[in-house]
Amino acid sequence: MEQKDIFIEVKGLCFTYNDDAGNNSPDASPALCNLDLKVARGEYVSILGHNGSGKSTLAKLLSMILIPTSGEIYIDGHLVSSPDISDDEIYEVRKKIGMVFQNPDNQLVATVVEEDVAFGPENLGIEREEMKKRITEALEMVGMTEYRRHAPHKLSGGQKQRVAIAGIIAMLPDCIIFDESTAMLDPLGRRDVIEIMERLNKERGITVLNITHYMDEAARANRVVVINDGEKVLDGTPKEVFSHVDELHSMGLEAPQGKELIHALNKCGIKVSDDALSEEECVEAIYSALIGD
Amino acid sequence: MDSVLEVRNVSYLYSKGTPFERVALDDVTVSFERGKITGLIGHTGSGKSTLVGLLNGLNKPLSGSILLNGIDIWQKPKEIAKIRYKVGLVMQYPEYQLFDETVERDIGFGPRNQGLSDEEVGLRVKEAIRYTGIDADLLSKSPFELSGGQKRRVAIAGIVAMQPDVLVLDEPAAGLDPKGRREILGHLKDFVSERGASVILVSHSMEDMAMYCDNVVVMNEGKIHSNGTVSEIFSRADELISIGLDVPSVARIAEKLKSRGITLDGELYTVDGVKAAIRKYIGGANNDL
Repeated sequence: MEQKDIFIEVKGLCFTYNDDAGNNSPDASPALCNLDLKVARGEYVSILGHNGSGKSTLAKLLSMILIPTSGEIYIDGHLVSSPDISDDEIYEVRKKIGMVFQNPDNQLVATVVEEDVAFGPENLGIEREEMKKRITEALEMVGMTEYRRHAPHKLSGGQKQRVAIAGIIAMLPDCIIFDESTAMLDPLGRRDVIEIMERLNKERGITVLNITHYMDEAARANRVVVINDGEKVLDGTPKEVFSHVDELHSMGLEAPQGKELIHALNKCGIKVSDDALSEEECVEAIYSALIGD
Repeated sequence: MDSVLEVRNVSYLYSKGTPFERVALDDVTVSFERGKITGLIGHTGSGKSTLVGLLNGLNKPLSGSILLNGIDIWQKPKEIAKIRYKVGLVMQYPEYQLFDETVERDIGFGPRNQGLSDEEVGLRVKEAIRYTGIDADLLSKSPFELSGGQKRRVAIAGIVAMQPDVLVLDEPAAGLDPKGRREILGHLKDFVSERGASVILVSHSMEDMAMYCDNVVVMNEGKIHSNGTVSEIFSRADELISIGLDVPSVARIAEKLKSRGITLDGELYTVDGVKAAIRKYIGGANNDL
């Protein structure tokens, strides 16, 4: 990884939540502990971890909603973890990272879809003509053009998330963090949002971080990072990470079902090549094991 | 079938009489079997949440009737509040409804309102934490000190403590990790078998349906699309996909193996089920030799 390609660099990152009085309580356990992470521009990374493992804390630190207790965060070369960073610089860097949250109802602000998409760019002071162009493009990208003048609250969950994503796209970020953005969606809504995520990455080169509890979804990324109790424990291609089935179980996680099935078969003495991960690969591996070559 | 809840020809409209009028439920008739966990699935806007809100009398059907243990729940409209103790509804993100100083008081809130004595409330709380997998050490804590998954379970315990005949859960595991899902959903079976209660589980996770439910009701565009046992429903993959739903990943794997000539036999919708079927397949093949 060439230094110039690095978009996010996190070094020795620690974060401890304050107690009610706002003091850094010494006995509180840290949400993140000595975390190192580098993400190259244009990468598609899934982040896994049990509830409370520190995933969302990391997302909030990367988007500068929280300031680290110790350690450094560089976003596109800017050291954003320093308490001395100027407001101007924070605003400049925040434009580079967009976030999509879990509950679609919590992130729509306007009464008409296109106005909702306009909210972000409007606050960036984008000119009217440019803004109209961006809104049109963003709605097209998420397949919501025909709903341009609809009321957001009448849309389905998946459609709302697509509008929320359009609002982010219209700000032209370099990176989008999806914080369990598919958790509330029906299967079709999930498929749509994942597809958009992948198109943004492939077609626009946007760096995508997808925080998720759906293992099949995580397996589609180029890279999977597993965080457990505030520490990074696994980091590699989906095949590498999901080969640690027992370890994932011990952290309260799972592998995609096909992988789980092959793992279970091997445990009861039925030898199946455990290199498979996608459904197709799993079918192939089980088929050859049963047909006995 | 012994039904605990019966929905008969129920229709419901939103924004009735305005230009935004929308049919949410269109002449729905369906029964929920006593002592079973019934899954309720459908795309967003298919009418699941509307139906769930009618089951405990939060809303009143515009036409048709809802029968609990054979009696119309709206027979005595003034006593509808009693129905809400019998059909306990856990809404989405119930942890936002926690409010009391301790976990114990929060769980006991419902039973106290039912007019039970302190002693009885205490017993109800004890029972409720067992069915929701909450550690007794947490009882004296503030609910706000707990993790997301624990809070969710405390909120569910608050409904379980009212000893409803039917427990209705709307997306109880959304946003939880695999272990958290198991902890919430895995205990439902005990609640059902020991108390003779019934559960209705709304979820978008086909894997959860396969793991925890006995029956599944599928809704589509305000109507009942299909209704049957888990294996009956998940044997209709193409139909489910065509209405925006899905089948568990292992079910697709089993289906693809079948198309390549390996026909498995058994419960082909959970990892354990397919594993057992493959073992049986191999055993069968060996016996043929």
